[in-house]
Amino acid sequence: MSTKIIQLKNISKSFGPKKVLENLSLEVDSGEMVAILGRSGSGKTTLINILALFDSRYTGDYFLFDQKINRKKDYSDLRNKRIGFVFQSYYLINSLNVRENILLPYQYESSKDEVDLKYLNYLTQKLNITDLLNGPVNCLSGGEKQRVAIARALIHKPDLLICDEPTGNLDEETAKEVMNILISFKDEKHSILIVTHDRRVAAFCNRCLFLKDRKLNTYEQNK
Amino acid sequence: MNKTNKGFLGFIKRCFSYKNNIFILILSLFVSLGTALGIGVINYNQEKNSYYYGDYPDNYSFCWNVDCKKSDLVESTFYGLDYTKVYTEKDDITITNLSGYFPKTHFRIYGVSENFYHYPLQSVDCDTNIRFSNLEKGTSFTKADIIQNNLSFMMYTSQAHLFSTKSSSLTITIKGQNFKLIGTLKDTADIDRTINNDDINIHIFVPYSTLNYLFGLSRCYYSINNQGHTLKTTKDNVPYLANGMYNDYSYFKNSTSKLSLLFYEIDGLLIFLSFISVLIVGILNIKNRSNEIGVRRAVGATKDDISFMFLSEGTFLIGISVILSFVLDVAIFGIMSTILSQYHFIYVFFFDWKSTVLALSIYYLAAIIGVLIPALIGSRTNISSILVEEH
Repeated sequence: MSTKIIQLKNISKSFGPKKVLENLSLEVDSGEMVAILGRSGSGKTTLINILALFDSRYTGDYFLFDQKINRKKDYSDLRNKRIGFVFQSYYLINSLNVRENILLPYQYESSKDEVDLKYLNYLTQKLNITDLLNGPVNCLSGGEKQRVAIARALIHKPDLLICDEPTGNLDEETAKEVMNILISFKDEKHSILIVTHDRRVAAFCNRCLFLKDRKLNTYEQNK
Repeated sequence: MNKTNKGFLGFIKRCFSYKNNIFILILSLFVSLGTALGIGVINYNQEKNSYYYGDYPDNYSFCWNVDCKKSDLVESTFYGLDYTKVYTEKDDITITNLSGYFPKTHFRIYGVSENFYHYPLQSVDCDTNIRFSNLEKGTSFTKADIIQNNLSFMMYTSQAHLFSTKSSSLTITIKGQNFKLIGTLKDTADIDRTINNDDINIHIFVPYSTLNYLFGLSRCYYSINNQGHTLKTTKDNVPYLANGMYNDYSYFKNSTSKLSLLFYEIDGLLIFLSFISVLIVGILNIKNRSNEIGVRRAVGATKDDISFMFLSEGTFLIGISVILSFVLDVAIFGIMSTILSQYHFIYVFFFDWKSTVLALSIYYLAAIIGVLIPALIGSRTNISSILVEEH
C-alpha cells in the first residue's frame, strides 16, 4: 500500500496583490515520479520553494511524510535526512572536491552516522563518477556535474527527491542519460518530483501535472 | 576513507579556498601589524617623556658615589661620609670602612652626588642646601623630593657589583627607608655640563635622549664598549640647559604628547577602518558564496551552522594575522633596535609586549564583530531566491 509523501491542501501564495497559487492541492505517493510542467511565470518556482521547505510564507496546509509542516519551524534535519535536491545549476561547491561535495549532507547530520561507504561506491559506480571522486568539481562537464549533484542528493537515501529542471543545462543526449539515472532510482522506491518545462523530461514520469491559472491540472502527454 | 571535509584540515582548506578570506587575512595582517607598531611608537614617545619623570632611564643623573655590597645597603646603618672620599669614587672603599672613619657622625644618606663636593656634610639635613637638579621642574631636587618619591640613583659599577643586572625599578632599603632605583650612571659618563647657577657650580646629568632631541646627534654620540655603555658629549659646547630649559622641556613634552596622541588616534582609526573593511569584505564574501549558503542549507545546515561557519573562518584567519603580526612586530623592533643602535640610538625602540597584546586584543575584538555581522546576515539569507531559478 502506497503512502502519501506529499499532501498540499488549498495552498495559496501571493506576491503583494498578485496571486501566484490559489487553493492548490497536490498528492504524491511513495515511489511515484511526478512531473510538474508550466509556462514561465506560472508559479512553478514558487511551488517548488514551498515543497522544498525553502519558503514558509503561504496559506493552507502542507503535509510532508504525514507530518504537518509548521511554518515557523526550521526543517533542516528533515531536508538533511529525507529530502534530496537536484538543481538546474548543480550548485556544487568549488572549494570541495567531488567526494566532499557528495558527502556534504554528512557534515550537517545530527546523528553523527558514519559514511555509508558501500552505498557511496554503489552510487558512484552507478553514476559513473568513481574515477572523478578525488578531483576538483570545476573541471567537470555539465553532465558530470549533474551526476555528482544527483549523488549528493541521494547519499542519504532520501524518501523524496526534488528536481528543479535537472536537465535544463544539458544537451539532449546527456539529459536522456540523467533522466535514465533518475528513473532507476524511482524504481528503488524513491519518490521523485520534477519541475520542468521540457515535455521530453515529463515523458519519463508516470504522472504529469500542469500548473496553469494558479492551479495544478492533470496533463495528458499526447496534448 | 571517511572524507567529509568535516575535520580541522577540511576547515583549514575551506578557510584558504576563497579569495575574500585571503583578502581578510592580508588586510588583517597589515592592520594588526600597523596597530602593534603604532603602539610601539606610542611607547617610544612615552619612554622619552619618562626620562623626565624618572621612571627607569638607564642613563640618568645622580648616583651613589660609593661601591658597596648589597648587604651593606640593606642592613648597615649608614654613617656620615667624608665628602672628599665620596667624590673619589675610584677608591675601593666600602660603607663599613667609611663608617669607621666617622663613627660619631650620623647622617641618613638619600643620595650622593658631586653636589656633596660643594656642600659641607654638616648641612646634609638642611633641605635647602641639598640641591639635586631636577630636569622635570627645571630646578633642583630637594631632599624632600627624594624622600617623598623614594627615588634613588646608583653608580653603574655599584649596580653591576650588587645586582649584576639592570637594576632599574629595583627597590633597595637603607635604614628602613625604601628607595626605588630609577637609574644608573655609567662610571665613565661625562655627559654632565657645569652650569652657573647663583654662582655655585652644580653638575647636572642630562639623559641622552634629551640631548639628542634638544641639540641633535651632531652634538653627542653614543658608543658601546666591552665594559658597557658609554655616554659622551662632543667637544662642541652644548648650550646651558638652564637657559630656557623649561621652555624646551615644555615644548618637548608637548610635542611628544601630541605625537603619542596622534599615534593613538592612528591606531584607533586603523582599528575602526579594519572593522569597516572586514565588515565590507565579509558582506561581499556572503554575497559571493550565496550559492554555497543555499546548497548547504538545502542539504541540512541550520542558520546557526551557517553563521558559525563564517564566524569560525573569520576568527581563525584574523587570529592567524594577529599572531603573525605579533611575531613580525617583535622581529621588526629587534631589527630596528639593532640597526639604530649603530646610529647612536639605543633603547629608543623597544618592544612592550603588554601594550602590544592589549592593542592586538582590541583589534581582534573589533575585527570579530566585523566578521560576526556578515555571518549573521549570511545565516539569514533567503535560500528560496538563490537555489530555485525562475523558469
